[in-house]
Amino acid sequence: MAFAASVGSTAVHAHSFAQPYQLPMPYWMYIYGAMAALALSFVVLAFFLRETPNAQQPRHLLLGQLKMPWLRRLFQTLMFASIVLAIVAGIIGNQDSYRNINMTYFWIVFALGGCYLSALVGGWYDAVNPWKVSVEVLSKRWPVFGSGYIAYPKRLAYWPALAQYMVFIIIELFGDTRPFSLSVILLAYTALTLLGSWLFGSRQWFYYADLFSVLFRVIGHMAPLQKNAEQRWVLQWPFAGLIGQRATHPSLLIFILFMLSSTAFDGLKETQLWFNLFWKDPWNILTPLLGEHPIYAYPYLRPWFIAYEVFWLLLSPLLYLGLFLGFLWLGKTLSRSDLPLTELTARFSYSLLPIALVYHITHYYTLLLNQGVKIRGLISDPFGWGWNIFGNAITGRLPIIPDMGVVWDSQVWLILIGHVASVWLAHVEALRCFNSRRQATLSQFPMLALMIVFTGFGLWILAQPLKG
Amino acid sequence: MRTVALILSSAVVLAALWWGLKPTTSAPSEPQLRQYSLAFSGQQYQGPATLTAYAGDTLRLNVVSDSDDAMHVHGYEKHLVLPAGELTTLEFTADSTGRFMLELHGNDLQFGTLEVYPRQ
Repeated sequence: MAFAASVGSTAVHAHSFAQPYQLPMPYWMYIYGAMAALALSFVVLAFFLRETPNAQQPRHLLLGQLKMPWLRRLFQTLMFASIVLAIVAGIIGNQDSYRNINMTYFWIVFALGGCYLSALVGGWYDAVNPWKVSVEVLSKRWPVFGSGYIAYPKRLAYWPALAQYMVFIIIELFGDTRPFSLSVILLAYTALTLLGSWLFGSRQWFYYADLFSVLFRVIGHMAPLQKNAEQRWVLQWPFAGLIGQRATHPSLLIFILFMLSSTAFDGLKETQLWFNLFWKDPWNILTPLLGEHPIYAYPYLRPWFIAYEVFWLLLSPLLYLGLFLGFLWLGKTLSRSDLPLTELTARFSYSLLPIALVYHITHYYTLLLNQGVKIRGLISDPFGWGWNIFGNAITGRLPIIPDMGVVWDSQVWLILIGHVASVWLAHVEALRCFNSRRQATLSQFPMLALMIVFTGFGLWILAQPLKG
Repeated sequence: MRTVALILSSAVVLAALWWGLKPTTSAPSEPQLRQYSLAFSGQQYQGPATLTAYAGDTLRLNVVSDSDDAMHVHGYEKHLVLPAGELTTLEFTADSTGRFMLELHGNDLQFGTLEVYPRQ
């Protein structure tokens, strides 16, 4: 028993870096969240019963243009310098992940913080993207970086960005990166970006093929503060920017679904249920094959277990896609819509983003508190060599740990907010798609059921007992 | 008007569900002393896989190892040196809630977890 517990524990590398310290949500809160999601869905449905088709237009406040190019250049310089510092620190600095600035900077501040900043200020990354800035500088000397060697093939669409996203999540969940390996990964990413820009031109590459440009742009559509088509800043309701957005290619739809499914998978893989399904062999599949119980074959079975987990991770967006298409087809059948399924898929895919965002926030936001804030101290000693440049270097690893009661409450409320936003957006989209109120309402029953499934699953994962 | 009705009905639904579903707390009202015995023999761990406490409890971990080693309570950042064959005690107040990894440094063995629950 003790052996099994030890195996269970050592089998886990929760993330590349940092521990979320989260306890499973109490069961009653899961029930509460699920029932509240169901009830609120019908409240939203009732609200839209008397709504006129095409009446819902996003409202916004026009703020104008920000004419401070020096500010943009300042942030571009800071972003560029911080990425260079992260790469150099990983190569020459202390290899303790908590002492070297690069792990905290990249995984927590850049990757997590970047997502959440995008949800507040859309388009920030496009303005200061350090790789894009580098390519722009290079293109002044070698114009091919701007124009590209060949035209970007339409068939590629967003697939390169999706492939990078999948590799990124595999590295995050299974990579067990250290400062040096992270720097190597960042250098490889830089080389890929330069090669892609040289081959296809920076504009096309950063629009379609670059992971962080696509990820932050997609999330940025939800931001209350963002730029409109005329490059003017507008203030609008959170999530309102998703109204009218379309997934213009199946690769973008799968990208969005992977945002949802990869976070759900990360939560699921930490649960006892997921662990036991493989290592306890409840259906007696592995034991006859191995000639012994899988738990005793741990040393040589572990690489296969990781391959098995990667397989499910990569399959996960397709499972979500199957559900999405199935429920959309039901809506189309119920409403007797003439619109093809591909058109409905393109129109409704963005309405899933609020659920994806709150999944992400509830799963990872505590990392910003217990590890992200340490960036202040790490700036004083970026290489982990014992420096204290600004007098606030980290002397220990003591994290800031939020109270679990607060974490649970925030998880439930965030998931409910995301759920209501998604249901709302889908209704608005339905009113834009269909000519009659009746058709729009009928089409939304299956969508509502789908969103309850996604929300319920997200809450269920948060409430599951975790493995040892 | 419809928006006000929407907000009000949502608030009523949420409040009614909360009131109806929230259970009374099962945590002891006063902080307690919780003792656990942990042993390591030939890199094998003998002891509970999960140590449980409520916020404010005092934890006393009595640890013995058959080889020189060190134990680490993640999150609390408590380190305990374990001289071979000696009973060593680590005592601290569980003032942070959450789930914290317990690790034996010698072979990076993550042998268990400490779960500290909120009192209410």
